[in-house]
Amino acid sequence: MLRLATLAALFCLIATQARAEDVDYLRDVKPLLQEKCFACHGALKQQGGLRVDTVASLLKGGDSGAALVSAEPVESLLIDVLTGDAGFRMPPEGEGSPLTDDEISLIARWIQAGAKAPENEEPQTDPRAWWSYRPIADPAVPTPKDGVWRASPIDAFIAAARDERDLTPRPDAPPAVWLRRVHLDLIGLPPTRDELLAFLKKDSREARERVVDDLLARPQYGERWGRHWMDIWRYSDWYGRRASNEIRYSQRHIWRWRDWIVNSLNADKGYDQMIREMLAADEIASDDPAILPATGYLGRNWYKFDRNVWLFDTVEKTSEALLGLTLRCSRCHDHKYDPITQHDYYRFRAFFEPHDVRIDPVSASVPTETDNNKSKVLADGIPRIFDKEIDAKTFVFRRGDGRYPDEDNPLTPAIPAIFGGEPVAIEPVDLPPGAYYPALRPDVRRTFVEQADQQIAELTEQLADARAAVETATANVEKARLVAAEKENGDSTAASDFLNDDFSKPQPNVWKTVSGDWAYEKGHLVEKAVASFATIVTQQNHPTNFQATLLYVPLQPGTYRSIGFSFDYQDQGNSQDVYTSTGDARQSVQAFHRTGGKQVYPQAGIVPTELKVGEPAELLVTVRGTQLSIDLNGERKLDYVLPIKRQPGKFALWVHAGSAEFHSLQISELTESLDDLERKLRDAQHAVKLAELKLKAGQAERDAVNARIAADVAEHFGTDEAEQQRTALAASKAERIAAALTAEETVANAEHQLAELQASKADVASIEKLEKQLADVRTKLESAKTAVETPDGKYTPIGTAYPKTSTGRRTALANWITSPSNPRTARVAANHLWNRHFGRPLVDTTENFGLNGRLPTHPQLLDWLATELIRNDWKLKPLHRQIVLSKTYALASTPDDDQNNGKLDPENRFYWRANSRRMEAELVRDSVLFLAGQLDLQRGGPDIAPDQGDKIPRRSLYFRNTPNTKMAFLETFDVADPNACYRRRESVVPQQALALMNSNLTAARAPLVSDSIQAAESSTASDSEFIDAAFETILNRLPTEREAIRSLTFLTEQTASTDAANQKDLRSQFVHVLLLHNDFVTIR
Amino acid sequence: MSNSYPCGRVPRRQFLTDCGMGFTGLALSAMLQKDGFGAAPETGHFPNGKPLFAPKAKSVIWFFMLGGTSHVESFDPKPALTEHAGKTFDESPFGKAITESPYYRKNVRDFAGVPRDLMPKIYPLQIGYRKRGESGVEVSDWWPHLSECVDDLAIVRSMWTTDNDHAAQLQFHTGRHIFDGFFPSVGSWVHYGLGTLNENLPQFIVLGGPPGDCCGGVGAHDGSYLGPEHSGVRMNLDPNNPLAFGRPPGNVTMQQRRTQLDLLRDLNELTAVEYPDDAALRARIKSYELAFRMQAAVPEVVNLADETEATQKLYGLDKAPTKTVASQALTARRLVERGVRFVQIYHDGWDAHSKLKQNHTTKTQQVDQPIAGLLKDLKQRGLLDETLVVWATEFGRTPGAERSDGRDHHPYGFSVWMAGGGLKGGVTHGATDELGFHAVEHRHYVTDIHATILHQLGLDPHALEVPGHKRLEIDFGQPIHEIIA
Repeated sequence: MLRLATLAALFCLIATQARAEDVDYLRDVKPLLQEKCFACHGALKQQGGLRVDTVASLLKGGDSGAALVSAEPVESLLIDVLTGDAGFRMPPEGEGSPLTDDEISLIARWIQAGAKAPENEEPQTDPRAWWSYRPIADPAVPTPKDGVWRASPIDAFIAAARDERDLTPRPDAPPAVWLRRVHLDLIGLPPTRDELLAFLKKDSREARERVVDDLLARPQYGERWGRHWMDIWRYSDWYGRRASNEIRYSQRHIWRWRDWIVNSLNADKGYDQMIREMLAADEIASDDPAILPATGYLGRNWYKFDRNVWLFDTVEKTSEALLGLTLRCSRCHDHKYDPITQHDYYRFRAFFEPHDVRIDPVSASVPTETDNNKSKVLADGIPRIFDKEIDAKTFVFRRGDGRYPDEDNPLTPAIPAIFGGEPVAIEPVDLPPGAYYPALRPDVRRTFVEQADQQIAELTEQLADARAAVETATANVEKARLVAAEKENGDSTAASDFLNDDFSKPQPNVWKTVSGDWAYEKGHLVEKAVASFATIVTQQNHPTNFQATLLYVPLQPGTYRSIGFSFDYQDQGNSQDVYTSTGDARQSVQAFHRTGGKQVYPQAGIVPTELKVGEPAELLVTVRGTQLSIDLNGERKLDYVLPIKRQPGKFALWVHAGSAEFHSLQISELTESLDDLERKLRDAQHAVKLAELKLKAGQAERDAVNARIAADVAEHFGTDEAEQQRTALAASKAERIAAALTAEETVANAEHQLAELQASKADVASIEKLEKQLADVRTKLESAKTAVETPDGKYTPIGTAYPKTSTGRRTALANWITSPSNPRTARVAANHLWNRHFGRPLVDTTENFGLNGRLPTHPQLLDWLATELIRNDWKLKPLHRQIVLSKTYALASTPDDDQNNGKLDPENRFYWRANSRRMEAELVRDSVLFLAGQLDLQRGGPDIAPDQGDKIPRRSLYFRNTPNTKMAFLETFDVADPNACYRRRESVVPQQALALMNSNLTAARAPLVSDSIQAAESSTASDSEFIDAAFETILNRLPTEREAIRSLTFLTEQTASTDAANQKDLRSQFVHVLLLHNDFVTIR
Repeated sequence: MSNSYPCGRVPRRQFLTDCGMGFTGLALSAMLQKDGFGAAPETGHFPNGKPLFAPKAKSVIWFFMLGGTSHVESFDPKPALTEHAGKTFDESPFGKAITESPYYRKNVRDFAGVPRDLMPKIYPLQIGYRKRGESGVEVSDWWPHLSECVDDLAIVRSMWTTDNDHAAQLQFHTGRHIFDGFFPSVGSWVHYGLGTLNENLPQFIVLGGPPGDCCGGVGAHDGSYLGPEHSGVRMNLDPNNPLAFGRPPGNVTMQQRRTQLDLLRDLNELTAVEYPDDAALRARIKSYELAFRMQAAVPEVVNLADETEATQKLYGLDKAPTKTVASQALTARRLVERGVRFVQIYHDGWDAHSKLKQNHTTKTQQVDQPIAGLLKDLKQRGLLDETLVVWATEFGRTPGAERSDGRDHHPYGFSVWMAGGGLKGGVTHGATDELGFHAVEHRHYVTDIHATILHQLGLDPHALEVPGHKRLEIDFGQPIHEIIA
């Protein structure tokens, strides 16, 4: 855009196109001055001694003389500063965009024409006199013309304002409409048909009171209104990078704050108390785990990468949501409309400067998970606020930029000066022990001991099992000795067959294919896939000691042609194996094993052997304990000690990188030799010894836990120094005793393993390795024993200790916000409440009660509601009750016949009828599930993944909602944007139509709704009866005659047959249509 | 309807903000006017579904390379890198020009409070480059197909941004650093400012996966305070399921659905008798018809089998590396042909901290032919004049090496190109210094790209303001007049 460089050019413009008389000061000029200039040259500030809010003050001018000279634009300083010809330009850089040439021209033309002023022009009112800075009044209740509107103050205020405007109220809505309205409003679910029919039988004032009291007492009230307050308070589940468990915004376990909101509302906790707890529970209820989650309100603003972003949000959203105050505008400069300075902004921030977030433990038994830093974090806990840096300094940021703090002028906390300046005495808070040492809170501390007890109970049981095993093993040995004595031959072998397969036909009850292409051909089992470990596996575990004889022929396809079997098979990555390889380059017979997915080929297991493709091979393998031998075609090839522990497992046949034909396989169990049985007995005896040691260690661990707790308690909660030393010494000793016992157990285990390995004639390398390990653990045991003898008072604390005091700043702020004399808090709350009952607030700009916000439509009513809220100890339920039982709330939402109201007040700002509204997203989903009889009313708990919305029928508020992750169905219906949602949107978009038509939520539930309607009716219900029931269930009203006829046409005309299945299907389709009906998602 | 307006918004145009209807937000008013319902919108107020002045372009196709494409090895080749390879900046003749530049560190807002290292050891070009086309614009050899189109490209070589981490992805789309929060994305502004050309399709469509949660996520195509109806609608390339909830469950026939919707319309109309002034009800009736038609229209758009073999080959639909982007590019053409205003295509994986050569070889192979194919195809169909194609990335990559064989993030200077839509072709605009470090001539912040697009669409960014949501001057940007034909 071209900018006029000179006044001369400006004059050309005036001269050529101007007709001065077409400029109107009030219409064209004053709004420009107001927008661009009043902030610095008006009632609030008079920079340079100049006001520009009246023509008179412009003529009078300021320190630089008159701002305008009538009929002389060229002589007028105003024009010079707007064009920049004065050598500087207004508005100053960064304080608003310059006026356009057209706009300057307008002003110049007005001056040219004589700068005519309106008569009696009033200067701008002092912003400090703006309604929302003045105290809340307790207004007298007016007397409307019609007596029925005098029954409740709410109705009186509404009716009086309506009277002034000659508006005539609509009659009451039909009872059914009222009932649906109040149900959805208070609990977020429609009435059941039974509830509807019962209500219709006896509608009365008393009946309505009973309905309302019942609904307010239901726990679903807290969920419904909790969701509203979650909108206003910006509830957000954490987000960042879920895949790597990295939190960037909000907090882990923030759902505890959501549950606190729901519970607090259900308990009808005062709104003031809720605010105090959200801002400062860590100071006023600092060791109460039921209340601390309230500070999730602040924890929600946490942002990993920038503390200033976090605190900007905290300051700005707190002031908007709770005070209707747009502090945001003052982050960079003084507020343009409200009497708020940049200084005020940062002094408000100072209340929050010291605070930070931490996670308190809830129990010792909560497992940990790994976050993106590989740190262990608790899988559950309480995210809560605490003052971490008591002395943190606050500075004004120049232009709101955190890189340029005004470090010469540290600020103390204060409320904005307009509200009274230095307000509140800030008293530091001495925290109770449970607050600064949460692991020692009795309920958490107990779990540490419980966990140790639990451990002891398990170890005791293990010891008993071990002792029983010794008895069994002893009996087996004695029996075997008797048999041996009788037979004089102790080493009997072959006994029963485990498996005998000639592979002539499939035996699916024996074998299961894991991979590969296995087939039975010409009486043999063949595998020709040339795959990586084509495998079949037995369904049953094989005997521990066995002899297997496998007869097979390696075929040509393949390279390695490795053919063999696994035993002790767990899966393809964990087994012991024997095979032959008839490879092109090399042939061998081998033993190896697989562990943790890796194949390990010990040198000792490899026996090069000549083998040929096409020649049958007979593999005879004997496995007894850790001993393995291989005979190939009748010749002993290998005697081998299995290098990894035996374990029960399956038997698997496999072919790797080759193909083969299997002819037969026999596996028979080897009865255990006396040697085996004696070794088992030794193992069992050793196991008892280990279990005894473990139990002792477990008991010592419990002693250590108790001693550590006692030492922690003395250290942190006590003052007796001698006691502190004594308990620390005891804890130190107890912890070391436990450690020494554990070390002893490790040594005993290593000794036993070594003895067994030596007895089994294992290879030297393995023995040496174990010997070295044994030496290591013995050294450790020795130093552990030494440590026991020299306790020094050092021990592991049970948990983390935090600062013992809090600044009290946030308590002070909360006390000011919730003071009955605060001119904003109760008004803002009442306005939020009104908005959600009536679908429109009394002040349109719910987060901005300032000079740039809207005026209240009913200022006196707003003040009355605010006063009433405070009178009720800030309890919300009494106010809900008064509102929903008012006549105003009961009005019909239909238009008036003569449309007089519609002409006078088309937007229904004065409540001549009720507003029809669209259901919020959660109501749509919850209602569908509710009608289908599926809604799970379980309350609370961790957030549920949003992609489970269709599968898990919990209420919608329990599903994860972040700025980036929302349930798709809910998103379609304008679910809250967690970044800011003081009011919900009510869009109507085609995606909603698609979602209702095609989502599984509705498509799969329509038949269920239909079934439940049908089930409630008699089995012979006619289509007409069904239609009535469906309307009453889904839309909570009967169909009109025309609706009924049209519906009947749908059910009857589509088919000639009266087939029951078809009828059922049609009825489901009809129900689905009612779920698509405008009035299902609409609250009339 | 007149009882509501959305989160945190002060309504200017009551009829719109209250209803916020239709994919365009204007659908309702259009619907109502056609039906003779509803109050006429306040006349003259913008946006009202019409450009402010005669537009050059009707639609935008926006390719965005997530991760940061190397500018020096793409559209701004720097032989000095090879010449001085292995030296530090200070050992080269350019050291002072870099670190003593008024731009050095000045604009960057460090993520996590930690400035990134300078990466001062000069890393040679990993690929050759040549003059291309009649214009002789230099482009690297990693872009052989696009090089054939160079005479249609307007390359801006002097971009800068302020985020040195990948949230610059969000910034490129909203104009704001992630520390400032979320704002309407460029596509949503276009959507907000312009009316619909085809009621059966969403008007702002997103293909490919958006940035991660860390980097702005869906914020890169979100409507923010303009409202969700101005957000990009994600579409899959699967013809069976291209749109969320876009397809009836398996057992429902279209005929059944039609019969149901006929009943629904009649029932809703009967309710409308009782509530004759209920605009939401009117809109909902209409929305079901729209949705029904959309179900049919959307699968048709993504059905690429309709295209000739020659066309499919032109985009590279027949080859594995190019198949995905080819489908997206070809779908984009089919969408703009049908009047869709803004098609946003994300392509991920350019963040070559190491193995840059391998990474960019692979990545350029995936996108080069499909994007070039699109340009050629648009041109041969006479659509390039009215379609503005944009290729952008969140930042460039450092002239110096990070570790041994990669480059780090580089917000100080990088390249973006645009083509068609009334822009000049075969031109470069702006320049970085000899090493490609600082944008030194005709510097452009990311919103200048937005402003250029809006200008070509007949919109003035300054007219795009919502009361209660003040925009800064830098948010509006300035159209780059030098590249406008």
